[in-house]
Amino acid sequence: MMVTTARLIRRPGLRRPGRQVRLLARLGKGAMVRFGVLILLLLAWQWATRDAGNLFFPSPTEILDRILVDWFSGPPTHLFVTPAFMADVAPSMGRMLAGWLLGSLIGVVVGVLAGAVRTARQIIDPPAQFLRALPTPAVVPVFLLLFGASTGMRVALIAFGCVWPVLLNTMTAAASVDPRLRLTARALHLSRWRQLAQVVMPSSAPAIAAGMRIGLALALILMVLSEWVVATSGLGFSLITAQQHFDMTGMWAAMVLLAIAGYLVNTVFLTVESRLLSWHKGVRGK
Amino acid sequence: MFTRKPTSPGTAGPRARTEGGTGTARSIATTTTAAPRRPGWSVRCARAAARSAFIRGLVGLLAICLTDQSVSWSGLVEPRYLPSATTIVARLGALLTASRFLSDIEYTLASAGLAMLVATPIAVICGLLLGLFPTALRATRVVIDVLRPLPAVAIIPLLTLTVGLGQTSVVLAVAVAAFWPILLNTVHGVQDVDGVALQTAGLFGAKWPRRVCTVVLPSAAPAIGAGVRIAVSLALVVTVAAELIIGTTRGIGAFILDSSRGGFHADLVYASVAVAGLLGLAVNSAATAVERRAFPWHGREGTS
Repeated sequence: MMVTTARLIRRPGLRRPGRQVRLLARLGKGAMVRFGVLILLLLAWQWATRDAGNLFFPSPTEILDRILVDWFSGPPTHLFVTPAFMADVAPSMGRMLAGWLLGSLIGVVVGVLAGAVRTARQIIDPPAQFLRALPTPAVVPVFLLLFGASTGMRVALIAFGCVWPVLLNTMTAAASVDPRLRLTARALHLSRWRQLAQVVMPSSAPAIAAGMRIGLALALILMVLSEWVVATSGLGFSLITAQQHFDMTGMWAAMVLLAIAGYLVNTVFLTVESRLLSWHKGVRGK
Repeated sequence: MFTRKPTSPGTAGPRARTEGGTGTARSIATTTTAAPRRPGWSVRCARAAARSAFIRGLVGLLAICLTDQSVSWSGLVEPRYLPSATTIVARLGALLTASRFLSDIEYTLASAGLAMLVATPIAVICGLLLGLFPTALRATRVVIDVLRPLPAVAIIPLLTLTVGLGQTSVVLAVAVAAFWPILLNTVHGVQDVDGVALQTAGLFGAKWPRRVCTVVLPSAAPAIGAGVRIAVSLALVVTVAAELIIGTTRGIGAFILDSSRGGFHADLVYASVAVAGLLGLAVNSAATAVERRAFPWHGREGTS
């Protein structure tokens, strides 16, 4: 909104500098506004911890150092990542994505099918709401009992957490498809499957995406949680072991890496979403 | 969406409600009682629909119990780990009359409520500022985007070491978790304020504080309310989670931890987990009902 108005306003009488210079200046100014506060905060943090020697709050440079040493100091042939990265971070992210995709898939399939039938919707809704409201750490022992301390248990736990927001969102959206679209599809004698695939799925896509985004945040939480019990590797595991060994810098390093991972995953998802759903006018950034 | 006049917050509600009446049973019932055409019939219809929905919901919950019961009868899983539904329900009834467990529930609710009291004003004020000043939003966007995905669970190790193992850590972790949905909803609500309404208020000579109070806040209120509703349900889940992880001495989380430690009393664990789930369900429906009552002109959004 602000950008477009700024573009529209032309100041007459001023001799405008060259195109490239202007572009660079605008980019520079944008970057300064966007990253200025972050950099200022980091500088303040650095300055505050510079010689305070506080045990609990290491300075940003120490944390960055630790991240680089622990995870990104490998040989160029391994894309600079260390064996510890391949043992901790990569499997964690893999499990998270696998669980998230599995949960989303189940949620979408069940949600679209159940959304078409009112009775099924009314039967599924309360148990789904109830299971969604369960505090996740309390579910961990149950999954541990059912699946043992395996990769499957962690993926299943993440999938269990992601199913509900996707399922509930999909079900609501599939039930509220524009009746005109539904009637048109019926008038054209589309088969039931084609109606689901070509009418119901596209029109509930934005709600499905919204549910999947909530699921992504949950997946990150559950990934960390699932690695706090009987695990030997993983990002959550390194976070909790660092805490138990009073390794403050290691703990902060794991937390920062977790935040960066969450940021990246979220950004990628938003980009893909706005690309795929650009036809839908309710997509973010309206 | 908001066709409200900025200066008369009380009068615009019913009119906008009849315009934008969405298909929920309650809104049908309330709008048609005001209309002259056969009110009794439609109210009866809505009630019958609500009743059948309730019964089907019970069927769904019963299905879970039946699955569990048949699993325990078939002997697939050792009953020590997965007790039958009848055992769990019996234990649930016993728990709900035990004074120790009731005080645990009270403690958990108090922690969650305290966290909401801490988070809501801060989040609303920050959201107002960020919504009103686009530059501030652009400047803090990256900071927000980096901090928001960081799970509240992940800062618990830091909190236990710096703040301790008590209620303060729980409340802080929950407040952090509850902060984000309120903040983002407030920002969106403020951004969606009708520009013409703001300019009109300006033309009438209203200064900034007044414009915020009479135009911005009322028209952003439904969005803020939705954010608070999401945050309340989230807060309860995170409270129990934090109690479990931190290992407090009181609260539902502490009860679950206690009963899973000393030889794993599976029936107690499942019963208390079920109580936590039911409590979440109750809080969510209560918050939804309050929200619908407070902002009836606002169409109900998705279940997120």
